[in-house]
Amino acid sequence: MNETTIPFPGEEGRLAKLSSAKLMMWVFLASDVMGFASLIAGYFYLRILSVDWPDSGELLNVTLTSINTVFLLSSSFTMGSAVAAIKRNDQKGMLRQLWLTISLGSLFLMLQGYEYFELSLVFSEVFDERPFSGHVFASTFFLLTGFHAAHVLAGLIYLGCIAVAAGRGRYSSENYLALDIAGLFWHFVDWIWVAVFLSLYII
Amino acid sequence: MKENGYSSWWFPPNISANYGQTLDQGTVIITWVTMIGGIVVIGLMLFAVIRYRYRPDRKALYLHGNFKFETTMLVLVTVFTLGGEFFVLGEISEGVWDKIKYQAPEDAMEIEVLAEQFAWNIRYPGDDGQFGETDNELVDEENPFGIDEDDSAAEDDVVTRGLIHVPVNVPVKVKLRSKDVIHSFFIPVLRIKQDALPGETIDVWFQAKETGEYHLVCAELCGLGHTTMKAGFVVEPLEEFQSWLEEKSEE
Amino acid sequence: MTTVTLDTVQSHKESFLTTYVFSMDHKMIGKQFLIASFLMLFLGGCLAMAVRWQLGFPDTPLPGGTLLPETMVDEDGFMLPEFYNVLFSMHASIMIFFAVIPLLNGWFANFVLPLQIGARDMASPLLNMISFWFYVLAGIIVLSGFFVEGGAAAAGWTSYPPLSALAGMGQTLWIIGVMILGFSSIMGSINYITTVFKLRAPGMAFGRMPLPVWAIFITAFMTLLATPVLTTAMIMLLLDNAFGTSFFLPELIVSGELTETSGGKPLLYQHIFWFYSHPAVYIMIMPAFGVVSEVISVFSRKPIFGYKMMVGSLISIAGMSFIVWAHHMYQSGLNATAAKFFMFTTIVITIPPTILIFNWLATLLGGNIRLRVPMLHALAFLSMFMIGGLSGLFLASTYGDIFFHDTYFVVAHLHYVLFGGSLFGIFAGTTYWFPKAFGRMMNQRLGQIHFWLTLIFFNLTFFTMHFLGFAGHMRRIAEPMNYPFLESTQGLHTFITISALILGASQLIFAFNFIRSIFRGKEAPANPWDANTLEWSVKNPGHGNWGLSVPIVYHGPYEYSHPEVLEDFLPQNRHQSGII
Repeated sequence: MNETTIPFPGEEGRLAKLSSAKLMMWVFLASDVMGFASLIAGYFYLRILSVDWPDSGELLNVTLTSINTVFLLSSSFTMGSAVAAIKRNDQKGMLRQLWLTISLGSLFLMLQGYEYFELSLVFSEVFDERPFSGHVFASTFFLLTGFHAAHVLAGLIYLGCIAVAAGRGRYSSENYLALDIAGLFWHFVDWIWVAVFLSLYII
Repeated sequence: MKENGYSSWWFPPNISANYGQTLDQGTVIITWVTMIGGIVVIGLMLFAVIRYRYRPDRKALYLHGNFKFETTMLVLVTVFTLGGEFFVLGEISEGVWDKIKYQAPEDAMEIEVLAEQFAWNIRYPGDDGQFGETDNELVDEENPFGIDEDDSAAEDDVVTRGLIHVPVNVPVKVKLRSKDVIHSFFIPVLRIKQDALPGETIDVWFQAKETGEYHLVCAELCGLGHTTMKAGFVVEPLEEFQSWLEEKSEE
Repeated sequence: MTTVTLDTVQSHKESFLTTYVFSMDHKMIGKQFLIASFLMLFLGGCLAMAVRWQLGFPDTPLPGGTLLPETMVDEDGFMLPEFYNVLFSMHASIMIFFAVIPLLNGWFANFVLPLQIGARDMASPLLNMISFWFYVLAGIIVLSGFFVEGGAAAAGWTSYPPLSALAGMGQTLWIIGVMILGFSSIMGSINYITTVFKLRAPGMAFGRMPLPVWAIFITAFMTLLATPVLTTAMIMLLLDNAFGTSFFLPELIVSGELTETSGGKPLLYQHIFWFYSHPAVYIMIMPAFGVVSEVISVFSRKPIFGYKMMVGSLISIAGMSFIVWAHHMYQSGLNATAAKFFMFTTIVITIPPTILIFNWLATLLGGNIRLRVPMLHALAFLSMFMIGGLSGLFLASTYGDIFFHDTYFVVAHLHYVLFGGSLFGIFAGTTYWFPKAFGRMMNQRLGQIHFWLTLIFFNLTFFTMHFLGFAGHMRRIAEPMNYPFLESTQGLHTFITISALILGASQLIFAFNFIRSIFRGKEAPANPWDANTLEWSVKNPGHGNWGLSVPIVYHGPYEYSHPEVLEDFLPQNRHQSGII
């Protein structure tokens, strides 16, 4: 039996197009979804059973955060553009879109930092000088958004490293897997925010 | 093996007037079924190991992927096991679970049990049948429930610690609470158990059909004193119960 | 198509550090997990011996007790109740998180998986190495609780709040350590899943994978999806324990003082914790299902009965494991509908393990059985795990559970599945793959003595506990003689303790055999058991496992006693026309 005629099953069919590295990212994201899901479920459990849950519309800055959400989701589109650019070997386009993504992501974090500052004053007043632990509303808010913000920060550092490598001409239309995978993580971070945002601010 | 009437290896006496009996019967059935099942399986295993032990002059039976046979076996095993289990477990649990946990009789006598590290506090509503108002701010050594003395309903409330008395053949509903950590209200002779969660009031009800002195114990790890957290549980005729209650209310 | 040449495989020089300490070779990492976990198993066992001493000989001070600090023992060397609580909490935590889970998912998974699918290593050797060191870090953090004020964690391995939230530094360290252990598990699972999808050798279709591979692969999905939920439970518990929040804490009165907590729900922790911990118990048994299936087939010289059914059962156990969790919470104040739902799902999930047992029996019947040491352990697994499963029926009933919840009946049940099941499975797999891992054979006679002593004294110790459960004996009780209705159980307690001490001592035989055989065991041939799977096709697998090219797979792994084959086995990488 000629060895070269028997393929590796992991390189056949649908698995052929999915590299190990990208598969690992997908698998990791599945676990991350469970993490967010359990935090959100815990949040709703506490909220539904609570007797004195404040009105999120009154305490939180829904307008500011809605705008912030638009920024974050836009960064998902710019990320997609960056990958599209390198696929057609447009180095300049890729770099531009990549740095735009990072800027939008950083803007998101900064605005969120500002909101945290504002809210700690508001929560202090409403919850007995204890902006974090004074009421489960505050604790769940900071925990959920903080867990997400940690992912955004990790994503920005990740994208930063990719951007530096990209600036050095590391990627091309033949070789852009690392960018693709980073993009996958970034899309996850952006879109899981929708679930967090809806749960905390809208529903 | 048996001291003060308590076995070291089988159920304690069962003084439950209702569903506690079902538990014992059901457990006996499950015991028989599992014992027989276990013996059959282990017996088959030992048979196989002896009957089919290695001999170099033979080969094992090469059974490979007979789909019909395997599927038939699969279906048989599933039907047999599921059927058996639903019958044994379902028959016993279904309905009974609701009744023991959630369907206290309307006329049950209410008492309040407040668990704490590491004691059981009991409150009787007294003649007016009403519990007095409580406030967590008022809780102290003398007043574990934090009863507001100004409330008129509180005047005849009787509080005991480490001791419960109940009348025989009367349904009793316990409003179970906890002050600090999770405890669990367990009276072995009544076959009832219910976790006491802080921040919740959970109902447990029972009816004892024999008099005697028994125990209430804690069945959820609650700290270093978990091993000492017990209370006397006394079942007595109604008149004796009432005179005991009066005696206590005078203290 | 990927081919790796001999050059790229052997191109880096290895120092002592990179060979034995910071290795990225899956076989070495597997052995690191093996050694570290066996050490933890030993420590967990010692803690259990101390627990049993207190129960069996309450009027005798703990041996060596006078050497312990006064936070643990009184001036005569008698154990304090608070230390008793530490002992059983840490015994369970160490056994679950640092012995059983890493032995199955760190030692077996790492060593066996790439070899059995014909891969050179895991998809990410670096991630693999990091997962081991996270395990070590987690262990150090959890054990450091013994040295802080207030002692180590004492709220049970379940760590229910408010008790655990109110506890001190030892508990805080426990929470952090468990979280980090979770990361180690998740890293491993990502690696295993990717490796099975991408790195199988030519011809290794999914339908030709040996059952240990399927078991590890499916377990990895459970680990991947359940462990993050443990992480979030731990995050919230940590915040409650150390940062004043109230996720799980309503307003409380502790030692006469009103706390500042409010609005939290203790039951929420239980839901989140058990959502992880129920799949966790399957994480702790499923790799053993794979190992035992393999061993039974190999030593019966017969194909495993119902391969497809076995795989289907493993998959359905994994899926259903996520919808049974609240059967641990029947008595917590769960509502009636929820309790009924969980009882229903719990009954249904008994079907796949029943199929597994049936199939193992069907494999034995008609076989040509060699009772080598791995086979002895596999047969013990079959019977002891079955007993554990049967005792579970008493607890599965919402109604029956009312009496048996939190009694010694549960302790008996859990030890039958975790010791009778997982640990015998671990012994089966370790004695089976020892020749491949260390190139030498373990001593058969010592192996048999260890096996019989373990089997006998395991049953004497734990079967007796079912009876204590019937007597209504609560668990986690430091001084049962405080309760008049338990006075008659002292005799049984002493009996159990003596059996347990002998059981513990018997494990030293295994330890001695294991260590001595690594250095002085008889040299092992490449395929001492005449097995079919790929790991036996190479004598001392080095870096990259195979030389110039990985093996080619021509058929499934269970071609034993084929009528058209001369020998009673046919390795997967040996071609014979007509057999696919």
